[in-house]
Amino acid sequence: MQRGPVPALYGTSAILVLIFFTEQMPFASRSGISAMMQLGADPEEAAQMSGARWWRRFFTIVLPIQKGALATGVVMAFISGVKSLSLVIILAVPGMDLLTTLSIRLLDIGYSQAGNAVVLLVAAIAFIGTYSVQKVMKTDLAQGIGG
Amino acid sequence: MPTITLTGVTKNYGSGANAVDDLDLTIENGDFMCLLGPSGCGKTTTVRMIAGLENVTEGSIRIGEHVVDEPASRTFVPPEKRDIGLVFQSYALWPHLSVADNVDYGLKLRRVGKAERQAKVEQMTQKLGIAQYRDRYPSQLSGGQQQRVALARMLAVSPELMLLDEPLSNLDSRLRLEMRAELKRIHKEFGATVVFVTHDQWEAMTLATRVAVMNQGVLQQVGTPMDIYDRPINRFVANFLGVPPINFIEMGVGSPQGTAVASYLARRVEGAERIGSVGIRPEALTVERIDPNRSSDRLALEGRVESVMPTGGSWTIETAVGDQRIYTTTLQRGELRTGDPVDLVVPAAGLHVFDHDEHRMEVQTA
Repeated sequence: MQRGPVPALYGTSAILVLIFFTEQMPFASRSGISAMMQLGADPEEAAQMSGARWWRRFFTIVLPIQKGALATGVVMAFISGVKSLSLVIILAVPGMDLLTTLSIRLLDIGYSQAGNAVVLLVAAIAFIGTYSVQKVMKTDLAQGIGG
Repeated sequence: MPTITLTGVTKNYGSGANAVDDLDLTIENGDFMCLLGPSGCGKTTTVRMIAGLENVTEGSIRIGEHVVDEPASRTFVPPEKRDIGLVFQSYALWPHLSVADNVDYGLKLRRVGKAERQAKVEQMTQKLGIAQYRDRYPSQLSGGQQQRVALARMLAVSPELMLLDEPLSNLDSRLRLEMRAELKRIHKEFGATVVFVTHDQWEAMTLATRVAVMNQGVLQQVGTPMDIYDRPINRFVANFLGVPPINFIEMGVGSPQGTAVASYLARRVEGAERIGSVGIRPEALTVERIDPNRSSDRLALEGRVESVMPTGGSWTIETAVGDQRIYTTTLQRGELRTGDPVDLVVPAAGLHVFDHDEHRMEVQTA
């Protein structure tokens, strides 16, 4: 059954691929970003002075230099994805509540407002954590790759 | 190469003072222009703006008749379209490419034929003495070799304008001397226009056809090296050039040497009451034994030799004059010993007079 332009993902294997991709993206990109910062802007600027445009610079200079860091990011994400699944299965016992499962349970019993509050709490923790690390370490991707 | 004209160029990074402030500078075809100044004076920023790696905040940069950067008319030509060569202070070689591939990169971009490219890489690596390292990677080379690769990479595409950002600062003194000669030769051979950034006055003096001295983002003086050395426009420029540095004698502090200089200059400088300080280059002074019958018509500062220091081919003599140390350089040590009372004799032409605002004042030498 299809409602709307995008076919339903629930119950397909595509959603698993997508969800692991999304889940691991912040960690994978972090390793890429720190490698970029370490590299600095010089090699890319040198390519620019040689007359290379953006695509050319990216594919002949930035990507080859970064391929090690890129591979590390992918491998790390893959390993931690596989690991996290097994850890939860092994270690979580009935009656142990994580904030996420708690919110589902609250919704199940009809306490939707309390459930929303818990979700907001999760979002706030994630935001404050990320924001403060970026501020303290001065590693905001929006500020460019440094150099 | 057409003339490069900077008009009222100002750069502000968004906080604090201007990194470059209202800079007017013309770089003529064939110039070897040195931008000289202490670190943080805006010389690297200036070069990066000419290259197009930084935008100007105000003003305009023209290459020939073409405006390449002017915020007022929203014109900005990106660096890859300016056809300018740049050697970075860090060299910025590409670590994943061999020496030959580093040199070849620009040629490939210009769609030069393969045979021609190979010949050019061969020629460039030969010329800079790095042919035997063709297949090595930058991390396997010494600083001097990397620097030559960076030069070869820039020269391979024969840009008409070459920008060099302190390219010699990471080399040892011998290699630096060699590379200096090399740069001078390249400048002649390629007939290129060169803009060279350095904080090393010696480098600027020996290499440049013209020097632009900058301080705190403001251009102080432009001229030939000897022009700037002989006629510094203000106290900063006088102080920045010269080793050992110029000696300054302050007026109006009541010191005997100040009084002696003031009375000597009273008839020789118009508006002598405005004199703030006087600079004397170490080599302009001659050290003489005190002569009781000396003529009162010349300026001599009485002092006592503190130390005589060999500097290789010459001597630096430190003399205590009043409460001040005056440095002199001389080729002949003579019979001077520590503690000897001496006269430091200064010809009128050796005096650089500055007013209270540290601007140059003219001295009548006749």
